[in-house]
Amino acid sequence: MKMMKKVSFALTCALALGASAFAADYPRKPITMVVPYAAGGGTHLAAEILTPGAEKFLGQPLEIVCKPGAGGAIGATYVAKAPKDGYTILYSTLSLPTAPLIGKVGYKTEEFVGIAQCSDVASVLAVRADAPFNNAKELVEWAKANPGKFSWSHPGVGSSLHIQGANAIYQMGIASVTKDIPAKGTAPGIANVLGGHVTAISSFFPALSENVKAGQMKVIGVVGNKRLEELPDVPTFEEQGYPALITSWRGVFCHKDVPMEIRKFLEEKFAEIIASPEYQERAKKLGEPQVYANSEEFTKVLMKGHEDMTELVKAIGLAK
Amino acid sequence: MEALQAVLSNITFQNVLFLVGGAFAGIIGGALPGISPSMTIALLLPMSLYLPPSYAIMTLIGAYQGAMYGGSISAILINTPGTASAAATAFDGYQMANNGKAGKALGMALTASCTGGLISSVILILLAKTLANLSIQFGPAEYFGIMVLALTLIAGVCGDSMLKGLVAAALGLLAATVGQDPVSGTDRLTFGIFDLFDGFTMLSVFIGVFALSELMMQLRAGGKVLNEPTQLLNVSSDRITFREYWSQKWNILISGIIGTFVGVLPGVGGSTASFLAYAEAKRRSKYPEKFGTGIIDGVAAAESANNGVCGGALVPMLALGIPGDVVTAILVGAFIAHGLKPGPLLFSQHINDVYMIYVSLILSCVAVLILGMIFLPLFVRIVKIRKSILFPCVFILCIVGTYSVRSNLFDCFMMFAFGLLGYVLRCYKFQLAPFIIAFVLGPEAELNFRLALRISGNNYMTFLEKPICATLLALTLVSVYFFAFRSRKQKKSA
Repeated sequence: MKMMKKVSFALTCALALGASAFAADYPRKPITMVVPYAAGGGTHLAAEILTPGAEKFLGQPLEIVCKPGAGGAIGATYVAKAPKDGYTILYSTLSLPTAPLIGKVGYKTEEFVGIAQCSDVASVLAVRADAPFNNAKELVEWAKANPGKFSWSHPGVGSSLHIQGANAIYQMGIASVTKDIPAKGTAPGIANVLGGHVTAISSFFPALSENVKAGQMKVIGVVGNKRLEELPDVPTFEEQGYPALITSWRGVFCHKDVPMEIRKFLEEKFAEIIASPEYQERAKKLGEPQVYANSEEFTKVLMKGHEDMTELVKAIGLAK
Repeated sequence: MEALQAVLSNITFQNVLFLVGGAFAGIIGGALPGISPSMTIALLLPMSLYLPPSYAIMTLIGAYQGAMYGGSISAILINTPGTASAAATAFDGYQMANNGKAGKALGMALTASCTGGLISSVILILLAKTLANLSIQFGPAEYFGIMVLALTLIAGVCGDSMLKGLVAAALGLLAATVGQDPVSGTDRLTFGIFDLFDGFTMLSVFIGVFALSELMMQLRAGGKVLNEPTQLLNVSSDRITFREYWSQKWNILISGIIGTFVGVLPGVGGSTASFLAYAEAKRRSKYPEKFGTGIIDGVAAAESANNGVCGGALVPMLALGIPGDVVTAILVGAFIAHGLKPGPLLFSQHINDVYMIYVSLILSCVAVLILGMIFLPLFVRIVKIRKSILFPCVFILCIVGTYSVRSNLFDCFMMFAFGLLGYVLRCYKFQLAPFIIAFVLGPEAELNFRLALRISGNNYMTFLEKPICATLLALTLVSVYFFAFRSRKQKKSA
């Protein structure tokens, strides 16, 4: 009996050592961060600024692979099906909880857990400078007085800008008298507004900041919970009486089955990377509003996104 | 004088060095099937983040021009357009290579590309603001007009059987419908396979239908032909002469202008431009029936147009802050990352940066020309390699190239499927060109048609009420008349 106890004690110690050795062993090779959007796009760029110098913090280089398609679902499915050893993580946006609600994808939102939130981007609803309304209330009046005339552009069905724009339109109660016009990206949408073919556009502010500065376009309202730094005089839709609060956040995720020590390690290190002055400077140049949340908080954000989207997607009529 | 000084100050040794480096990377990226110009720029982008703005801009713009030219190399040598915009180049370019005139084809592609690039740079510099204002007049209805006009090219490349050409085009349209409905978002013909959610990847289709089917056809020649030893022919006679280049001057000029204008329109790019230019060159030509058999006119038109897109796409980017095509969209991201905000205020607040962009555009044409001329003999030799060695290499390149688009193995299976389709089509003497044109332009035409209707509240008259659109549709009728009837009458009476 005593022998058994000794042996089992020794075995337990060995196992414990083994476990910490495993954790101390990570990472042994470069970590792959999957970006489920096209290379060169906004999300890719935002992810790229995490990589220079990441080796200092993580011990191994952070490599980005773009796997675009299906509104972010292809990349997310890839990570969901990859080995849960912490070497394949995901950088995603509001599309992560949205995609499973719109169509058949290979993962469930609950499978993912947040590591670090990087940003929280509010969108705006902008119109040409000569439009006959200047704020949400006037817009609602105009839209109701001219049913069918108000059209708004977004970069694609199911995209976060579509969702955010729809959020505002539904809150204003004018969904039945307006129509959404999908475009292939934000750029053709801006061109359409400038040319008068479409009335408004749901966009992130950086894409049209120069046009607004030059006086070609004006912003009706911000979809989010606070005003934009660059536009201190433009109220949010909530302030104007229409609580449209859905914002597009971005951050790092991993599968929930990845061992806890690895998740903690990643959480710690990403927090350090994000806090570093070099990253902050790159982010500032990119124009990304930096909002950080740690693993627990970010997972909550993810699940809240799932709830919000379930409702909104049904309202827009996109639910599968 | 001050402006001239500011312009010249941008031509420093280091700037030029980075420009040439970028151009070289661009040519390679463009030539490799699977690495499109946008991907080349996207690959260079992270590197450019470490460089100061002027070097970064020089590198990226050099790469842009290089990639647009590079696509012609593989289009001509192995019938696989390295980029979608080189599809029209393959029509005549590959035939020329088969006729032993690969050097001429490559030379024409090179000189036409550089000239087209220069033409669009000049137009950009002189007319940026005007063109930008013109471009925003184009809404969905007008885009539809352009697409339909370009689609009439199908009638021109049907070859002997109009019926077979139309069937091929219909197959192309069918293949293009697979994926997400662009307006309502529902899946179409995906059969639940969610890798097909975005439709067939364009490069998988290109590489499959052109390159893989070509490989399969070549395999039929049998072991003896394939194992013929590498011929060390005297290559010097197989090059483009100045006289031949000069004979194409109007073709190149008009195609370059077409490319520039098409590039100005946000969302429309190299492939539409080259199809339109090819169609127009054929329509204008004294010997339209020769297009597709391997004449330099076809190569010149396509290549001049697709490099014309480079300068054109920068017009809305610089004047309005709106990128004109996929590559300029990435360039915008790169500029912003370097603290440059493209937009209407760029001219008044950062004129120096604008000059730098102009300079890099013009110099990149020169750089591509010089690099191309240095490496041309090397490229030509590729054609002479023993086929039993060349083809497996091409095969591997196809697979790797297709995979690299989305890092998704499914795309490779798609490529094989389309390769089989292309092979079957060719066995039954169907033309591939109508298929590819319909596949590329069909979805654009559909999206814009439906958006135009949506905006107008289902008013079909909107296409005739809008002047620009009505004009384009009228031109379409003219084009159809020419391609479908007159040219066939000419052929019959010849």
